[in-house]
Amino acid sequence: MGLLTDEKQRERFITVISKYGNKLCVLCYMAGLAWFLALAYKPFNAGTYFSENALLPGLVEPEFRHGNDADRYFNDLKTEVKKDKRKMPVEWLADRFRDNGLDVYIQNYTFKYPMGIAGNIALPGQNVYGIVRAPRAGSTEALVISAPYRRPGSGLSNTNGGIALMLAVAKYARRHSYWAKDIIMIVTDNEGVGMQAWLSAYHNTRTTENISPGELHGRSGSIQAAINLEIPGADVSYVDVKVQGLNGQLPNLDLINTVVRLCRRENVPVTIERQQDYYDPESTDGYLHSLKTMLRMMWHQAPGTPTGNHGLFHRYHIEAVTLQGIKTKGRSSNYGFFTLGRVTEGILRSLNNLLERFHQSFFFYLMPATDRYISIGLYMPPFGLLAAAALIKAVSLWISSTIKAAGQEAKDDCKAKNDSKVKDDSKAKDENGDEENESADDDTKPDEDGDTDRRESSDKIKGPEKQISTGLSSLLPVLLMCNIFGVAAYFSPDMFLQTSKALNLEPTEGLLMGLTALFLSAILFPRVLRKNAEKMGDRSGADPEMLKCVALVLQGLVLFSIALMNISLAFFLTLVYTPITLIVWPTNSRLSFYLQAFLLLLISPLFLVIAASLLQHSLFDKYSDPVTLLHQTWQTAQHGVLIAVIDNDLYGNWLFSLATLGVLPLWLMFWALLWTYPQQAVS
Amino acid sequence: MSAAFFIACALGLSVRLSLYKSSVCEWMASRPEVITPSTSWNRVTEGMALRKMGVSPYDGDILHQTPLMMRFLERLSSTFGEKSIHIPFISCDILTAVVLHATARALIKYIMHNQPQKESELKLQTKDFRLTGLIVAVAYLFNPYTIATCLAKSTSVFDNLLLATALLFTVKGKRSMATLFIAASAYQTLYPIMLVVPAAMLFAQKDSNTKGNDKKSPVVSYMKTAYIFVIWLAALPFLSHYLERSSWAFIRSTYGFILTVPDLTPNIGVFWYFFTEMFEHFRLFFICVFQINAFLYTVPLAIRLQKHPVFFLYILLPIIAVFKSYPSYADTIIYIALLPVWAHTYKYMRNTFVVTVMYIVCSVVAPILWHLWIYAGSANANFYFAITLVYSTAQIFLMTDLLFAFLRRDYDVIHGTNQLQADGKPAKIILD
Repeated sequence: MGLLTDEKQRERFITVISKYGNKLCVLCYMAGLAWFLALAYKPFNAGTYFSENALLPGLVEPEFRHGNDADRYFNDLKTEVKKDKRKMPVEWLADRFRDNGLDVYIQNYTFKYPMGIAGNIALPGQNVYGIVRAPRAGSTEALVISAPYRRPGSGLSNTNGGIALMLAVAKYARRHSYWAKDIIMIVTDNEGVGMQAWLSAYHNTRTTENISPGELHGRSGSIQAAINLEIPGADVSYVDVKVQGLNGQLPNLDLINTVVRLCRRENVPVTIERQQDYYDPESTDGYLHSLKTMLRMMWHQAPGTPTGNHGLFHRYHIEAVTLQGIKTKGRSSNYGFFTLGRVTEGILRSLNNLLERFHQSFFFYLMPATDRYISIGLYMPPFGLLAAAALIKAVSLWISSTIKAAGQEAKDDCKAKNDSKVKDDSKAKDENGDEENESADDDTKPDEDGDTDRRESSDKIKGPEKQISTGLSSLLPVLLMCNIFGVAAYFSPDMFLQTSKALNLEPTEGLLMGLTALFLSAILFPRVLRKNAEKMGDRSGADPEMLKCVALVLQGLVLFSIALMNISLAFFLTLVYTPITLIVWPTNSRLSFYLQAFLLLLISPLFLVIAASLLQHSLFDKYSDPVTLLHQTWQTAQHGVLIAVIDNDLYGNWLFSLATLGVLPLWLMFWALLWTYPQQAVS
Repeated sequence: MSAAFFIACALGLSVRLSLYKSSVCEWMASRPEVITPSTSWNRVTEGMALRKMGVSPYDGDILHQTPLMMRFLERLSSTFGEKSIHIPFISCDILTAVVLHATARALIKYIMHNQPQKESELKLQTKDFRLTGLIVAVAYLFNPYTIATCLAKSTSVFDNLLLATALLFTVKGKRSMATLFIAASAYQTLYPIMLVVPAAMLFAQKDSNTKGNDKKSPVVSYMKTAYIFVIWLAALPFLSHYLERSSWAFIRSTYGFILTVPDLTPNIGVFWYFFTEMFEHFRLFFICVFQINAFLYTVPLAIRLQKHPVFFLYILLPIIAVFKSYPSYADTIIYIALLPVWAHTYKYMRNTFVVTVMYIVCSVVAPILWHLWIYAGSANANFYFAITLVYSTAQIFLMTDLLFAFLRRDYDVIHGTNQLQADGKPAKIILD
C-alpha cells in the first residue's frame, strides 16, 4: 500500500522506472529466460513423489499370466485385419469381448467435417466397448482402457498390439473379484473423432454439431481415470508416456508417477517425449538432455492438440495418459505382452484403490525427466519476469506520457495567465489529460467511432497550432480496427472454404490463401489511417506513447491469460514477442522503419505458423535437401491452419480462436504503432 | 438531450438487440460474476411456475425476489412471452441510461451551485461539464458490464433503474419522491437503505439554504425526511404482506437470505469463500461482523463529508458494491457510469493506471480461472477467490483514490493552489 499512498515512495518508484526502465526490461527478459531454462537442471527442480496415499502402486503380487493369450489375439487380429482393410473388425472384437464374459456394446456414430470440407457428407463410424462389471460394487465408478484402431495404410503406426493386450487384460480382469470399479475397455475408430463421439455419448453432452454420437446402450459409473494403449506389435523396446491433452491440459502428476513406477517395477524402460532419463543429470550433458526433454514436452503442449486419445478425456475431468510402445531396431532386450500386461495390471489395480478423484498432486507442471517435475510455483516466477519486461515498459510509458500531459497543462496555464484570461479548461481534464475535449468546438458529437477524426478537424479550424493528439481517445479508431480484423479472421474460414470449393481449390490452399489475403488487407489499414490523417493536414492519429502503453498492457494480459491454461504456448509467444514489441517505435529513418517492419512481420501470426512448421521439420525430421524441407514446411503450414480450424470445431481446441481474437489484434496494434507519426522531440 | 445522446441510445439498443440473437446470452447467464442467486432470471421462472401451481415460491430455497418485484416480473412475462422477454430488459437498460443522464445533469447543477463563490482557478465553469451528461450515458450504455448484465437477463437491471431514479430525485431535492425510491431500492436489495443518510443531509442543507419563510432548522428537516422515509419503508413490506395473503414467509427468503448468506455459490464478493472456510460455530459472529462492516462506513463518511452530501451519496455506491453479500457486475455499473461527473478531481487521482488494469485483468482472467476450477478441474477455489479479491481491491482503490482526490481538491479550493513553505518554496501536501 505504501506505493499507492505514500508520495515519497511513489516518486522514488517513478524516478527508478523512468531512469532505468529500459535496462530493467532487458534485465528482466534475460534473467527470466535464463531462469526458465535453468529449471531443467536437476538441482533447480523437484523429484516426483506420490501425493495420493490410496494409490499404493506395486504393492500387490502381479497375477497377469495371459501373455500367450495376447499373442494369440494379436495373430488372430492380424488375419482378421487382412480380410477387409477398409473396415474395423467390429464383430470379431465384440465376439472376443463376449468370449471373456464382458458386457459388450457397439456405438454407431456419424460425423462430418465442419464448414463443408469433404463435401458435407456424414461419415459413419463404430466404437466397440466392453465393461468388466465390478463384482462387489454398484457400477458407480469406472476405469477406462482404450485403444484406437488404425486401418492399414492410414500412415500411422498400427495399434494391434494394444488391442490384443487389452483383450488379454479383459480375460485376466474378469477372473478376479477384487475390482471396486468397473473397467471399460474400448476400441475406437477414426482416431480422435471416435473417442470424442464416445465421450460425448457417455456424458450425454454435445460439444459440436458435426459429431452425432448416437445412443449408448450400456453405461457404467463416473470415470476416474483412463489409460490409452498405442502398442504396435508383440514386443516393444520401451514405453513412452504421452501426457499433453486438449488445450495443453495435463493429467494429474500422480497418474504419471504411477505409470512410471509400475514400468520400472517390471523393468520396462520408460520415457517421456522419447527421451530416456540421463544417467548423470547433474553433468552438462545431463542438463542439456533434460532441457531437450522439457522443451520437447513444451513444444508438443503449445499447440493444444492432444498427442493421443487420452487428451480428450481431460476436459471431462478424467485423468488420462497414453502408453505408446516403441520398437527400435537393433535393441536386444524387448518386452512382450507378458511384461506389458503386468504393467497394465499394476496400473489398474493401483487405480482400483482410489478412494476419491485425483486431486492431490499437481495439474500444472513441466517434466525434464520421468521422475522430475517443475511445478507451477517454480515456472511462474521466471515466466513472470519474462513477461514483466513488457509491463515495465508500459508503466514507464504511462509515467512519461502523464508527466508530459502535466507539463503541457502547465504551459497552457502560463499562456492563459499571459493572456490575462482565466482559462479554466485545463482543470476539467479527462483522465488521461485529454486535450481534445476542451479544444473541440461545440458541434462535436462524439459517438463511438468517428469522434476523434471530427474532433481533430475541429482542432484544425480552431487554431494554426497543430497538435499531436494525445490521450486514450485518440486510440479508438486503431483499437476498433484491430479488433474488427480479429473478429473477421475468426469468422472467415467458413467463407474461404466455400470460395475455395467454388474455385476448385484444395481446402488447405484456399484457407491459407484466404487468410493471407485478409492479413494483407489488415496490414494496409494503418497506412490508410495515416493517409487519412495527412489529408486532414494534421499531425493527428493515435498517440504513439499511449498506443504502445495500451498494446503492451494487452500483450501482458493475453500472455498471462494463456499462461494460466497453457504455459508452453505462452512461453514461446512471450519469447518471440517481448523483444520485438519492446523496440517497435515510429521513426523517420527509412532503414530503421523497414528493419522494424521486417521484425514485426516475422512475429505475425501467419508467419509464426510457417516458422513453427519449419522448426518442426528441421528439428524432428532430418531433411538434407533444403528444397524438400521448404516444400514440406509449406505443406505442413497449410495443413496446420486447416487442422486448427477443424479442431476448433470438432474438439474445441482454442488455438485458432486465440490466434485470431487474441494474438492478431495485438500484433496489428504494434503494426499500427509503427505507422503512427514519430513524435517531435519533446522539450 | 442532444442528438448525440439519441444516437448513443440507438447504438446501445442495436448492440443489445443484435447480441441477444447470439449464443453469448446463455454464457452470460451462467457467469457467477454477472448473475447471483438473488438476480437470476432462471430462478424467477421457477418461482413463477411454483406460483402457478399454487405453491408459495418462498417455501423452498429457490426464489429470493421480493413479492412486488415478483408480481411485476410475472406481468412482464405474461405480456411479452418467452420469445421477446428480452425487450423489457433492454428498454429498462436504456431508460436507466436516460435517468443517469438526467442525474448527471442534476449533479452538475448541484456542484456548480454549491461551490465556493470566490474567484479561483479551480472554480468550475459550465463549459467544463459540457459533455459530461453524454459521457455518463455512453459510459453506462457501452460498459461491457452493463451489456453483460442486460444479456444475462439479470433482474438487477430493474434494481439499477430504481437506484438511478432514487439518485436523480435525491440530487434534485425532491424529498418525498427521493425517499420513496430509496425505500424501494432498500426494499429490493436492502443495502441502499444507507443512502437515506446522505439524502437527509442533502435535504437539510437545502432547507437551511432557502431564504424566507421556508427556512427550517436542520433538526426539523432531518425529522421530516426520517418520517417520510419510514412511512415508505414500512408501506412496501406491508403491501407485500397483504399481497402474500398475510404471510411473512417472504422476509426469510429475501432479507433473511441477504443477511444470513446461506447460499455460498461463488461470486465476486468477499462473503462466499470466507464462509465456506468457516466453522459453523463462529458463523453467526462473523456474519454480524461482515454485515456491520458493510453499513459501518456511513458514520465516518457522514462526519467527514458533512458539507458534501452528494459526494457522500456517490461514494456509498462502491461501498455497497464491494461489501454486499451477493454482489455482481451489476452493482459496479452505476458508480462507474457516474464517474465522469467527478472529472474535475481526476488530476488529483494517483492510481488510475493501476486500477484500470486491475479491472481489465479481473474481467478477463475470472472466466478463465472459473473454467480451470469448475470444468478442467486443474485449478481450485483459491485461484478464483484470488481474482475476486483483486476485483474487490480494485474497487476499493478506486473508491479511496476518488475520495482522496475529492478531499485534496477541496483543500486546494479553500486554501488556494499555490501553497508556500516557510522558506518560500512550493509546499507539498501529503496525506498521512
